[in-house]
Amino acid sequence: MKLKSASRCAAAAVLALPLLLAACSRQVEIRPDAETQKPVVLLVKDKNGDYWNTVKMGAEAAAKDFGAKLTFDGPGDESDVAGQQALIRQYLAYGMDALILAPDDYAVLAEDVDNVVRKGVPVVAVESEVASERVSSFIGIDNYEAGRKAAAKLKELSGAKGRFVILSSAPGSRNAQQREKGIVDELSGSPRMQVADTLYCGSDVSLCGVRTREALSGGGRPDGILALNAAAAVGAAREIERMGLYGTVKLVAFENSPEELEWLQEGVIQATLIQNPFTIGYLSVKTALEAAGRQKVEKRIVTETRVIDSESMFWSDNQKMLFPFVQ
Amino acid sequence: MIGIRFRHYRFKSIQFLIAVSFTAITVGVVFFVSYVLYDKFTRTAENNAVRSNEQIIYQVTKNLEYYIRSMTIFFGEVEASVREDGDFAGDRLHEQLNTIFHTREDLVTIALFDQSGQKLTALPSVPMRSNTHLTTQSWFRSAVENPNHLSFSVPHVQNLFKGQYKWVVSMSKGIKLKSGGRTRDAVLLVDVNFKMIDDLTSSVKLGQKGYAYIIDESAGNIIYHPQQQLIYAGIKYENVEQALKYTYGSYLDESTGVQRLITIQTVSNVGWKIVGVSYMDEIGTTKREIGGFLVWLLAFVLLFVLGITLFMSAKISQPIKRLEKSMQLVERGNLHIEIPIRRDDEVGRLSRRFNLMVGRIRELMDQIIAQQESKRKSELEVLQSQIHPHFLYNTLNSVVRLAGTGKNDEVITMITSLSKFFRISLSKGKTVIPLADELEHIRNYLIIQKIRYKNKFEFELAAGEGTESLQTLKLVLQPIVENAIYHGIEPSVDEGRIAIRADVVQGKLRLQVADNGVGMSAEKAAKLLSDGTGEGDGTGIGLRNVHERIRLTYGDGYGLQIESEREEGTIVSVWLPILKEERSDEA
Repeated sequence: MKLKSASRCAAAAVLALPLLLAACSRQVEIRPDAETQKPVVLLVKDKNGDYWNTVKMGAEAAAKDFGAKLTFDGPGDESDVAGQQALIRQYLAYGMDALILAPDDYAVLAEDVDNVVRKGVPVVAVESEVASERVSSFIGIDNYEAGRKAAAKLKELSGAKGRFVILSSAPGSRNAQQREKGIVDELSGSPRMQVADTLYCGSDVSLCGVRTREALSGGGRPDGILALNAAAAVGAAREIERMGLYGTVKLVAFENSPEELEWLQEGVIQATLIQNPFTIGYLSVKTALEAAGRQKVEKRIVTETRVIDSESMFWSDNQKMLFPFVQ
Repeated sequence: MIGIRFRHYRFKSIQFLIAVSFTAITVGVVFFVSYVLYDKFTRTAENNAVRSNEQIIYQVTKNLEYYIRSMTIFFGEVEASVREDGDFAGDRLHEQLNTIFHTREDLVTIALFDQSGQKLTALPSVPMRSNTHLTTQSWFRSAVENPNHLSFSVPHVQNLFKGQYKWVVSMSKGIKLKSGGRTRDAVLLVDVNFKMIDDLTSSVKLGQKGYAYIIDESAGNIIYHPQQQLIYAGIKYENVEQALKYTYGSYLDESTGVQRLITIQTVSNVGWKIVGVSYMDEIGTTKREIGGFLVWLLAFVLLFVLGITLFMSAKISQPIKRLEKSMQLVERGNLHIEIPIRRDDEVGRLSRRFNLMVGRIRELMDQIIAQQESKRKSELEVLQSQIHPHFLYNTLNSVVRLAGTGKNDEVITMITSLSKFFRISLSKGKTVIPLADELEHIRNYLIIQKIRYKNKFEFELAAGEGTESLQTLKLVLQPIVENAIYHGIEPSVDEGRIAIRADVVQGKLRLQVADNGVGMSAEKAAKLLSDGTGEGDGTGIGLRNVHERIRLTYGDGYGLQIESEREEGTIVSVWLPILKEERSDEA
């Protein structure tokens, strides 16, 4: 009977169906192999600095969020340009998906950055700019605007009169230059305020202390000091405290290292211009990954700055910005 | 045109119809089943996700409640120690608290302040900072405002002591202290860090990306979040407003752009809520997997069914097509076809019937051919018998002899009869004539024969009532009568008698020719009509001819019937249908 053989065939096919389906449904989860994934390298100015560690925390959070591998490195000193150059070359040789660089020098590192970009690795500059057109994006504060804000706070604290000293890191520091320019521009609106001098002490706290003492000891003691970075602020604060001049000599600082915050609470530092290094770190990794993924990224991302004093530093919002949340 | 017709034919074919309808039905059913399954699976997956999230969050809530209870108990112990001691700023209390302080790693501060914010005793044993704004801090205010009530603060940075700035949750309570009969108001503070809360909360696994966070139900402040810093930095956002509306339960949230399942549980006593977040796209993964699987299933079933239907429909329609082809051949005239019967199904039976039918047609065709041939032959014979040259010759001889002997009357009778005989014989070429004419014809014949045989026999003709007008095939009686004379009367010694009768019997017309001649045996009589060869003297050829002619014209129910007995005579009956005055155009 032909019909029977046909139905037998059909029955066999029906029985084979689940087997085939089972074969189809066994799918293999495809995930990028962590071993073959190249890292996003974050090279900072000073790998031991508090600021940079907060940047690192933000970068790590972003790396975790976006599933990237992050390598954090940098010279031990902000002025070690050659050391940073060496690190750039080293990581370029190792291979990386993207480079996040806080350049130690605006001009000198431009060529290195160009070189990295030519090798197909996108570069994101953080905190400080670098003189290269090939940088995918810059992420950091507007230093000129920060300078103006700090100067405005000083104007408020000093009653818009007096002689002031600027304590900066080095004449060539681009960030410091811009901050200084912002300060000068802001103060130019107040004829009774003048910048007496600009002193340079690198990132050396004790040298900054020395410079402060010199400035305060001489004749014609300035009414206030503008410390353009954390080292300068701490150096100056220690010296003012030691000389018992707190309150008398107004100290307006930049950045928010833990020690600065202590001085701020103690009232030695009257106000400080804070930024959010965690956000900078987070956004830098996010942007670097986008650039590595050939996505369009913003050429310039400006992060928030605020001026706080001992009164406002424990306001809930400021707490969140000032103190990294660690368990 | 042929192409169009061909296509038209194809689209109307059974095979096409079966294939299309089977496929359509199967696809419909499979689609429906797939949809139902998909719907059911995904809903179950979602429900399961919701339920499991709720269970997990419930568990976390229980753990957190346990932790808070243990902290409350701990706070109670500290409070008891403080109350026991009369001298609050003394070393003994400090020592005691210090012991307790180091038993736990989640403690940051234990401190006792008076109402003005003056430190009475405190741990860790480091100097206090200035500018702490202690009395304006929320934990202090709530302790003063709600004395004897343990309150939990939102996370804040503890700025009281030199050293690190730490994020803590403050437990504070306004208490009344009795020392030396005086009662003073004081605030007891215990700060805890997030170690335990983090341990409890980060162990939660809600899928791959899911997490849980804690909010304060009064203001919606985030107490703890696994990505607290991202929240604080404003990079991450949680839709706390929505979560605040729920005490417990689950809902879908799309405020961050992705669909997330939010599960909420309230922690009793502290006024915290645990919010579990899991990502729908992970549940969606299951959904996609199921979807993908069903698509595969659909594709496979489709292919399978298509194959089966094509096979089945071909199986059904092919024999029909073969049958059709064979029929076409038959149509073109090829009757020598035998369809091979492969199966015993409907088509097989149809084929067999077809074969039988074709066979029958073939038989009938052969039969018709044979009949036509014999008809033509007998017609020719009729034509011949119309002329009867031999009879004419004999008759004329007799006439000459009679004329020689001067029997003029007989000559006249004979010539007249001959003339009538031939007139009716020809009868304008008609084959069917009235019975009266037939009888007249045979009468004339008998008259002539009687004279020729010198009155050796007598004859009589009788027609039943109404029979004369009936129609009959012409010249059926003459061969019979001729036979009766030549083979019956002539050999007989007796005087012969021939009686011819016409009657209606059993609805038929019966012509009977009876003689009293020598007769024949019954066997011979029976053989006379059936035997085609005709033996010896050719007796019976004329009879058979008449018999055949009648049967060919009117059918098997008619013809001759012979009864005979030796020495007694023979009766030949001619059976004809009753045909009334009807013009037949048959040639």
